[in-house]
Amino acid sequence: MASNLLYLALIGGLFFFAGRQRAIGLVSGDQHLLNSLPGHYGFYAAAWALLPSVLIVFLWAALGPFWVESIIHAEVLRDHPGLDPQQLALRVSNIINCVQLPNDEGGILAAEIDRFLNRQAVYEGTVVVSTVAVAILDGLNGVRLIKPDMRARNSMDKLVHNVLLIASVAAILITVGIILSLIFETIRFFTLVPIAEFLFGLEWSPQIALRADQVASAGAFGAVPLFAGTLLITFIAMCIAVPIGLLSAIYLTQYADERFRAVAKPLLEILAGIPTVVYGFVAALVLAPAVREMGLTLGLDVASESALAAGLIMGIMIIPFMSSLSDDALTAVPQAMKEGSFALGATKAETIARVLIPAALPGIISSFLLAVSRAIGETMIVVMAAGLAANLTANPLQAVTTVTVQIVTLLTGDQEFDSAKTLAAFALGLALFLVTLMINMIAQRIVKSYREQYE
Amino acid sequence: MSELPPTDWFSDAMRQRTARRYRRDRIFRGVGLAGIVLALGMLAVLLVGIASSGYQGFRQTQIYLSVELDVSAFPGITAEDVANDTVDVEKIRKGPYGKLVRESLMAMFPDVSGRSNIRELNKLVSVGAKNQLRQMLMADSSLLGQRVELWVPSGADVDGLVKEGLQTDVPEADRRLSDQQVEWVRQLDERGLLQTVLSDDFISAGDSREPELAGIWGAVVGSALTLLVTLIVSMPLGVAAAIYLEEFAKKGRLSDWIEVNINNLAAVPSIVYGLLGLAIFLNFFEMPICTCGWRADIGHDDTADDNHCRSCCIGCCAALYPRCGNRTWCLQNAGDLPPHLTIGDARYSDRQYYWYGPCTG
Repeated sequence: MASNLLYLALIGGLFFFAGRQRAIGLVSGDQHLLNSLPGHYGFYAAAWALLPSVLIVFLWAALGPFWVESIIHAEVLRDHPGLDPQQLALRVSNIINCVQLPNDEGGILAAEIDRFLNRQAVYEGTVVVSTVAVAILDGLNGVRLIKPDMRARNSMDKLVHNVLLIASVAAILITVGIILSLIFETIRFFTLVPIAEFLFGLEWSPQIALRADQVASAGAFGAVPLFAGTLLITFIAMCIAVPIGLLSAIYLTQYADERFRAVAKPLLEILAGIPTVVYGFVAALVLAPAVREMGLTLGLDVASESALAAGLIMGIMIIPFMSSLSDDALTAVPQAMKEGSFALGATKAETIARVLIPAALPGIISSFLLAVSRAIGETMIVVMAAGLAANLTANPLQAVTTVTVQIVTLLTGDQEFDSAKTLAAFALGLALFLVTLMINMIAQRIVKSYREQYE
Repeated sequence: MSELPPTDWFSDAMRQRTARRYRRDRIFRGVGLAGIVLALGMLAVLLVGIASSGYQGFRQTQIYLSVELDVSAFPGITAEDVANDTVDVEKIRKGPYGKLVRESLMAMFPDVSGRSNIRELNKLVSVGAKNQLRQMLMADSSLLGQRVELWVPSGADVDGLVKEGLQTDVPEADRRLSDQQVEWVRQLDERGLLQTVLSDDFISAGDSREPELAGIWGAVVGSALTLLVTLIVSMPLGVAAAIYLEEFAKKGRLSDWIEVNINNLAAVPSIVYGLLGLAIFLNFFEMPICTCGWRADIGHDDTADDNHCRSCCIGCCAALYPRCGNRTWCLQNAGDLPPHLTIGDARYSDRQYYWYGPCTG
């Protein structure tokens, strides 16, 4: 692919000069007769040569390997009709691995490796020839289209505009992709498990028996315990994050002098930069045993994977999030309101409590909502520190599980991909996506209307 | 409306009121300070917690071995071969290193006898010890016939014991080392035959079934590759989108809609991107969950299997959700092992042979 792109770059360069020369030639060197600069005509021709061909290269790069592999697959199956799908896949990947890095399997598979290499050579040759041909033909067409009064500069502008437009529309496409992929799998799930059972069922045990005679052959897919567990841990996290985050934001914006702020704010931001897996590690290995120990001295029975430990750590993780967003909300309040309050003789505390916080409330609420949505979707901390068993309880000392933990457990390990167990992960994912989407939308709307008010 | 009388700012009631208001202000300020101190305290606890429980991972306990490399122990190799430097490397590879290590340990504890005792003794050193000896010899065959001295990694259990200061208050039945083994380790320590040093393996080795030989290099390479692909895809796309929205787009429904979507994508939980990647592989590319290829290559420098990483990385572009090289699947499905490799096979358990497991999106 790299060499292919190199050829194309060369061809593009050639057409740049060809287009430029042709434009100059058409007006016999008198550049005032041209609509645009000669270079624009060059770019015009090069764009003709490169756009379709580069597209083809990337398409081939994305799909080609799968295509070649499927051919090898078919051929191996033809030669060894007795192979079951797993052995077949193993043999095919053996062949491909041997090509990439010769090993002692190579001898046995020599013939097949040769054939693979042949196929690959043919395929690569086809790609190079076809892309180069497309580039040259298109480029020639571009050169042919060049006229002195043609607005090459405007065409180039439009091209750049469109490329940038496509880049930003990608955001919409990805959202649509997420929704579609989740919805299709979820629909498949709901053909196996009734939607009412999923939404309102109180029991979650997604273990599907591998053999028919096993106990518990039908799994239970009631997601209420998962939602409850997620909410419990989120609640604990917010109990930590909201007061501490809000108070530090108030102190940093209103009381702290410049020196303290310059030190404390970056330190607080370190908390936001720690990967969540590290938080999970601390929760599981340091905090959870400590919480358990403390509970035992108080005579309480604390699970070793208590919701409390996971929630506490998640709260710490969210502090900087909460504090920096509220910080923004507080500093966005117009100085005039603050000064008006001071002028009436209010102390700083009174000004903050009676003027600043009410004025910044929409911003604070939206930062709260964004923090909640982060806590709900947080995965690594709960995977490491929360439990696996679905427990419908409001007791923070017991182990609960969350939506994200269940998605992870459903998808790791070996399983078939049309079983209810796996598809349940997509249903949970869709629920998670919709909830976080809704919260984010509301938070964004609040922020937006609030910003317009003060600007 | 009646005129209010002028306020007497210096009346006692007013002074008290003012004092109370200022006290409240100080309290409020103190609470704010407490909030930020608490947050920073948690940061400190976090960092100390990680460092105090993590730093031991960088260290490795090693045991001193003195091994007599008797030429007669190597089948097919004669003293003349060594003298003429014509030793067959293949024969060195197949040398009885396990036995050599065991004999060296027995020489250190001459009063140990009986099969089960000797087996217990042998468990003090890592299974990597014989590899280390093999590699040493393969690098320099002239060592044959001499006595070599080397530090080899201890077994993981010994490592744990040493790092806890050779103390254990767990009853014998509940721990992996017997009282006898703990006693041996203490003797080794007294004789100065134990050392705990910065571990090379932890940085340079890939994953391994033996905790004492496991390292992070494979994971580092995998992370770097993932990062690279993510950057290549997201940087141009993100910068182009930003330029468009700031410089080109007219404020209107489309640009609003794009902005809302971008903000939402930033807040979508990463696990949802993982599901997106998985759905794409399942439906679009029709990839099986496990493209479980195997590969037995010497050396641990290329743990990043291109195929698996490529398929992982396509998902990672949308979000970081790498699950490369999870070996558990393969361990569970011994039936799929290639015929000449079985679980427990010496070659398989050797750290130099890697299994590449499934790539679950």
